Amino acid sequence: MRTSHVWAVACAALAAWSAGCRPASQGDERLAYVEVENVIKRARDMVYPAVVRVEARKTEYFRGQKERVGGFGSGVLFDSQGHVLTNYHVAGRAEELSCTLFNKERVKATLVGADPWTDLAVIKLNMDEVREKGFQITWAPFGDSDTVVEGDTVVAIGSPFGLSRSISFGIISCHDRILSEAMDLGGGLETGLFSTWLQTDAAINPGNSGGPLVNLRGEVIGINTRGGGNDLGFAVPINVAKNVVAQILDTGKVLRSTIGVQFQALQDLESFLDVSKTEGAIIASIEPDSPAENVLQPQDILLEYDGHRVAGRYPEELFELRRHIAGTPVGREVTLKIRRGGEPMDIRLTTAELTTVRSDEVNFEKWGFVGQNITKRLATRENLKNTRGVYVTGVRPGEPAHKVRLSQGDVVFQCEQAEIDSVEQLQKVYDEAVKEKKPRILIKVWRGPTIKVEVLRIEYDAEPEAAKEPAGAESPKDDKDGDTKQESQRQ
Amino acid sequence: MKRLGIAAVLALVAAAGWPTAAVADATAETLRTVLDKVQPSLVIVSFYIEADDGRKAEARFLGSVVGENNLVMFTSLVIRDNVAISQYKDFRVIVPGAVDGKSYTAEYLGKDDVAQVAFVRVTDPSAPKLPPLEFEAAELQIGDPVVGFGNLGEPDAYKVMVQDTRVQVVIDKPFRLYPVDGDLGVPGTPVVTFDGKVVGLATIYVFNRGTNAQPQAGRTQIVWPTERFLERMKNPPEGGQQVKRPWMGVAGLEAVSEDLAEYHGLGERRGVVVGRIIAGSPSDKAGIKVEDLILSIGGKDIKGTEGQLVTAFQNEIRERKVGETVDVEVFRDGKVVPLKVTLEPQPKSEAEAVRYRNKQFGLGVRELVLDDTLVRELPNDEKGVIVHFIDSSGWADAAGLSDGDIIKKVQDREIAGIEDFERIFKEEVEKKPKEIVLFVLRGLKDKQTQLLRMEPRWDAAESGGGTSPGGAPSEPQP
Repeated sequence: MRTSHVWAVACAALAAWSAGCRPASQGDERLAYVEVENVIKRARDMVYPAVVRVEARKTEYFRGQKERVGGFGSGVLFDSQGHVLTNYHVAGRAEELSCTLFNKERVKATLVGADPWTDLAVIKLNMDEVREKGFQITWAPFGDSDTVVEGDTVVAIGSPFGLSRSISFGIISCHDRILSEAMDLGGGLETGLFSTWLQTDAAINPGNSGGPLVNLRGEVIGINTRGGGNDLGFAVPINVAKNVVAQILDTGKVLRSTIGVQFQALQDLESFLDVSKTEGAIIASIEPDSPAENVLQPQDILLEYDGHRVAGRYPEELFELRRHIAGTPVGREVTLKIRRGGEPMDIRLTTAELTTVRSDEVNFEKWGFVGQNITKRLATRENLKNTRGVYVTGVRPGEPAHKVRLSQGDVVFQCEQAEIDSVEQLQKVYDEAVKEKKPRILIKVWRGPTIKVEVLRIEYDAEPEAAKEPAGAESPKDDKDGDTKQESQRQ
Repeated sequence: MKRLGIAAVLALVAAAGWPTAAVADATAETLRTVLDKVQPSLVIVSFYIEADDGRKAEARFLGSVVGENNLVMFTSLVIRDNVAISQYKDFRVIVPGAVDGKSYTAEYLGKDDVAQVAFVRVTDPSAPKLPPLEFEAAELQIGDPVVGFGNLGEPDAYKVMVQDTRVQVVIDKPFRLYPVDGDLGVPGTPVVTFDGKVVGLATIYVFNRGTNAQPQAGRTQIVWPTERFLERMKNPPEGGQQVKRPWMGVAGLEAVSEDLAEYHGLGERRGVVVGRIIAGSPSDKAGIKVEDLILSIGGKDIKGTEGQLVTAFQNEIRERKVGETVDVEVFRDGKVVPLKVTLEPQPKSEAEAVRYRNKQFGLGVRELVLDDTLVRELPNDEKGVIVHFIDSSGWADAAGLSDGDIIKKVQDREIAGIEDFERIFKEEVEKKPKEIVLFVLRGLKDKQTQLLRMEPRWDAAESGGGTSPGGAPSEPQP
């Protein structure tokens, strides 16, 4: 229903476009247009065969309930080994991946690595399958997104609403757009702090995600990531992606450093801070339990970081600054030149690893909840005392944990008299309790600054091993597919 | 309300149109008798609430004369907790049905949220002496008919309306309440039985109609029985303040479930689990600890179903006196530990917080109260003031300041509290600087500090003149 509607609109638009552009008068205008069209088609020919439609399936927990979620997006092949660059929100955490190529062949793929902070992921085609099927792959070259300027003509290629092999056309509307609202990739996963966006009016719709934004030289200059409707599309600049790709190909993941500060742009605060020249960036906020705690202070002005001068007059420049700091090797001692109350100072601190709020979820099936380890980032975001305990990510309605009103965000710190620091520890207590069929489980959780003490009442089936989960649980999952999709849209 | 009024008028007109031969049953006769008895004591309490932006809204509620010298009682539900009492203005009392429509000045005495009553006293010497209603405590039964009251608006001289309904169910824990199956009239008005006893007030109550795990709130009209407010009625508050009930400083309370009781071998005993102790509070001083199970208070076991235990405990505290020392039994590490807690008055509420407002900047701040620090998980003695009002056309708004921000510094000068803020802010404004920079703390969990720069336009403000913040024309914002 929805797709056919989009099709109708697309066809109408195409008709209008071709009618409107049919040259009515002078021949030289016609020539110019043909010239433009040729350039666009040349660019298309360089990238179009490298664009794939990505189909992904992953396991998610919704209110503690395991669900299989399917989705699709776009991607672009960038080397001869079959590596495809796409979005984290398309392929990140995926367990099953396949790609449909421009020649309509479908090939299985695997996840190589993913980076939520830039919303990027690298997957790899099964090249044996490609060889078996007897065709060659084509890959697209990366361009230089630092040279992109407003007005550059671009095309976006991908699978809007799943309609593979679609091209749209526009210009760069802004080369360093900042989007101030918090970006959430689901489950509180943050993104977008380390790069500005290429904004374009080339149509970008759901399903375009992960596809390339291409200049007229036929180079990928960005990865289409967000479509806002109303001719507002946003792509991650390819120069940001290059570094991410290199790290993923090298180690399978992206390591970043943090010093635990939030910056603020200098603009308009120069005279208050008595900064004669507009250089540096304001340190606005210090995260608790971070490298900067007790070393830096709010209102310090950062002038130099690890030998590099800092520019932070405009909010747009803070992305570059954050990216630079993130690029420092983790655990490195760095020197910061700052100004504090007019006095220059040198500060030394050691960078720490920047984590995301998420880590692998573990299902405590019989108790009816799902939990994860607490990362440093999660502790900061949720104002948790420390990283000890198990963070409850979902509680299944009707199960023991739900009956005692355990809820998402609780932190299990004690269970059956054992102190709980991690999911591994809780798993041990859980396994033992299940083995011994303990009918009552004493559990203590932090809920913000409040402690909650509860006893879980566990029922055990009469026949112990007969009712193994997977077989029984698998079949209804497919039935629920429709619901699952709805649920994920609401997120 | 208005719609109800019109409907009622139509109903009255229709009734008046019936031939006099219409059958008047016993109930009709009873309603008239009850109304005759109560009406002389019913009055309208009228006042204005001045919002932070200076706009005034009028409020009028039916109440009743309950004591000598025209002491008037009405519902405390209309005196909100996030509005300073100084924002309630121009209390007056109107006698319904009076042909002259005259209103009499009155003084606001205060309220008691636990008893759910608020009081004014008529101060106008020209006011007639109105007869007080005699309330009495009586136990109602299921099915008992009760009479309630409402009123029409000003164009109809606030004429009193009467209606009857029946007790639907009797709630007995932690105290008696009587939900009714129909309309009982305006909250805070008297409820009278068919034999003419004034047994309580009409009010609205929220019941949990679901399970513990999935509560479903349901609003119902109830009879709020006389014993809930009789003491307060005899000793009304003074000075316009909220009556301070005793406070222990335990929070995050949860019922001791059957399973938890069984786990600890408590037998039939129940109680509440302490989730949090407020530092420096009576419970902290008494040595109550987080995770303690409070089993009894004042020698009385805390009893009830799982859903009743927490309210039963809270009620035990509220019904005592400030300064009273009570015995408390807690269960800790497998043993029952006896403790003594000396109850203190509830800490300052948001409504009582001292405020400061600067119209030019379009900024209202108030002192931090305990609730603010609890919500933000900050230390009890956090310094600063909290922003509670931003005028969307003011300089503070333009700087990006928002409701809930905690201002820690003004022009780099530390702010300890509200007096500090007012003094320092005035001093800085006096200098007419080209900017005033605030250092603020924002956020509930992931808290961040930042600098916000307010840029006053002194010239525009002076030529624009008046109270309109920022010198902007006081047109409504789109």
